[in-house]
Amino acid sequence: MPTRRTFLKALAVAPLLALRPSLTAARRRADGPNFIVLVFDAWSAGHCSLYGYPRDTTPHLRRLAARATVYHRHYAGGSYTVPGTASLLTGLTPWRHRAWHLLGTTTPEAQVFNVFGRLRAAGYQTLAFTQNIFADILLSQFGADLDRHIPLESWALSRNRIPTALRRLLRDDAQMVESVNEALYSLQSGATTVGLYGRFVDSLSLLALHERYGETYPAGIPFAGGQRNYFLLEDVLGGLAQATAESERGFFAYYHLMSPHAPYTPRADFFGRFADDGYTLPVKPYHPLESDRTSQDDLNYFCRLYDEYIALVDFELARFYAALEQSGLLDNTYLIVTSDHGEMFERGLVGHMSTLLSEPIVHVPLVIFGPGQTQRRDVHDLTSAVDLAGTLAALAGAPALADDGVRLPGLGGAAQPGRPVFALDAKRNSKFRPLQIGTAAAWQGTRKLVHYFGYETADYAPEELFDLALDPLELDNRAAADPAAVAALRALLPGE
Amino acid sequence: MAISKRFPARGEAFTAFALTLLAADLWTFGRFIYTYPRFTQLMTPGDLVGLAGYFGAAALLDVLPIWLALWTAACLLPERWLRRQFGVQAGLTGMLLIVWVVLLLRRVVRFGSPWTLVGATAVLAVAALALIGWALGRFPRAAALLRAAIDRLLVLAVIYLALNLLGVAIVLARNVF
Repeated sequence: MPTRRTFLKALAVAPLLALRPSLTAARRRADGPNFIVLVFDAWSAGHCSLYGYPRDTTPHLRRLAARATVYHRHYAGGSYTVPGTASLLTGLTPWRHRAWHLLGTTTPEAQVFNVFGRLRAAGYQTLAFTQNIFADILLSQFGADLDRHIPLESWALSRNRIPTALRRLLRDDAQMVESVNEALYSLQSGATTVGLYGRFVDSLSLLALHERYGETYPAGIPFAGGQRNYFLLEDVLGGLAQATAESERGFFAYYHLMSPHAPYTPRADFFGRFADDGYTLPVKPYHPLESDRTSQDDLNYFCRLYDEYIALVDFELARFYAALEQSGLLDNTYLIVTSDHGEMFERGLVGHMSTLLSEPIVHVPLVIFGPGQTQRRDVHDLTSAVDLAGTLAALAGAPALADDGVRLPGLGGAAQPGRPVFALDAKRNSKFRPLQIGTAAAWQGTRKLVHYFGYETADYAPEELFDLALDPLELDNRAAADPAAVAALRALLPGE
Repeated sequence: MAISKRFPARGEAFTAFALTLLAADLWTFGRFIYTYPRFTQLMTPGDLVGLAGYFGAAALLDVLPIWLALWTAACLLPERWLRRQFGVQAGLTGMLLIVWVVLLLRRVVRFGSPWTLVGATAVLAVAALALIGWALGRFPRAAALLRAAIDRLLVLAVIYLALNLLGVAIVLARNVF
């Protein structure tokens, strides 16, 4: 007869039994190439010397690109982490994934498009890591398709212990935990008294960190957003290189690093590198939809720090590449280097939390190192973040899904000269309602349309049309002069 | 003396806990109502119920460190200092500490050094306990009125406690199923 003790034993084992199929089911091992997607947050293509920026911010990437495919006109799906990352991971435009709020997730319909699920179905081991809490919420949403979700505080110099423990305990509920944190404590950490304890320990750690690293990081020690997880980029990339080398072959790895996102914290060997080079940003007028009025001097100062931080990223990226090469991994691995969105220093605005979809915040780098590639290839066709998931799935032999991307030229796809790409900012629009307020952008050929809709401000032009070949700085709005082009591009914008 | 003899009476301990929790809940649910419209933009009704559960559980979690610290102090200090009127003394001090912690976390009050912050918090707690203890002894009629008011507040606190426990159940359910 079952006793109370046997009942309790059965109760304890029940969750394990529920997990059993996923633990024991033999998965077909992928025999195709491995994939590493390396995302550097808020990295604007316009600030890379690889793409012609006057400051030599990416000398190592320029050198390494001799064995890579370089995409010159690659665009993010949105202007900040949530829409940008969601597009990259699902192959869907924001119109379909609808992840466009801070702390937001995709719709359940979009979730099935996530790249982890696609590659896992093809036998791949999937692992993911991010330092960005908003990207981590998306990874948590796709958690069922992740074999390994590396905690976001990994390789950090300091962390708030109790909130970290809570986050680990409730990892699948990252959106909830962070929503409570933000609502109650402005993303400070944990619950009130717990958060206070966390801040106390954090403050002590920070004093020690400044003592130790203050001279090495004159502009401050890098840290990741609201969690204030301080880190050294070299530690994180070193840890990731090791985690990658230890992975079972036939893997897909997504690594999303915080650098060069603000705060811009170049190391001492990069700090001041561009201080006296004479470069200044082009002066652009303020935009009626933006209230920020940072002075031109300050824009130049922050831009300089950002560029120096990119130079550090470039240096550490080269070391990461060398570590992978030395381990022999690159012989059978695609290394994809890109960003979720860019950063801007113009029109009075520093950063990317904007209603604008200017080139600096949506034009991002994309460099793909193929296994055994020895020649550089340059792709000047328009490409989008939504192209990546489907391209990788095709390379992995996974079945194609009806996402919004096309196979990337140079990786099995053909050039499509007339193909448009899109970006959307709709952070003020409900996820569940039709689009009523936001900014949409469409590119086709050299033309770019920016369409603003629903904003209360009366004095903005609802459409901006630029010819990026003639006007790469977006100073000459041709919308009034060419209404036919405006209408043609507007007709291309995705519907609900 | 048996260690359990040093524990504050159960009723008094509950009063202190419930009063502190009431302060935490007023802040927490106030913030929930304030931020609710924003979350409706990005969360489904199911998620919003989950979020309310998280808010409730967070308030409960907030109170535990303060209550435990006061309870431990009551065990260690002479009976007449804190244990005898633990419910009122610790309850009111707990409420004050919740307000203090919120002010600190919202950066209304700032401290340069973390140790100064700890010192200031300790001084505030000791001063509140001493002042309330002294006032309860010095003004017995006021103390009786205060006790009566607290008894009425406890009804409200118990309702909130039920919501907090429901929140914990929701959090557990979300993470188990």
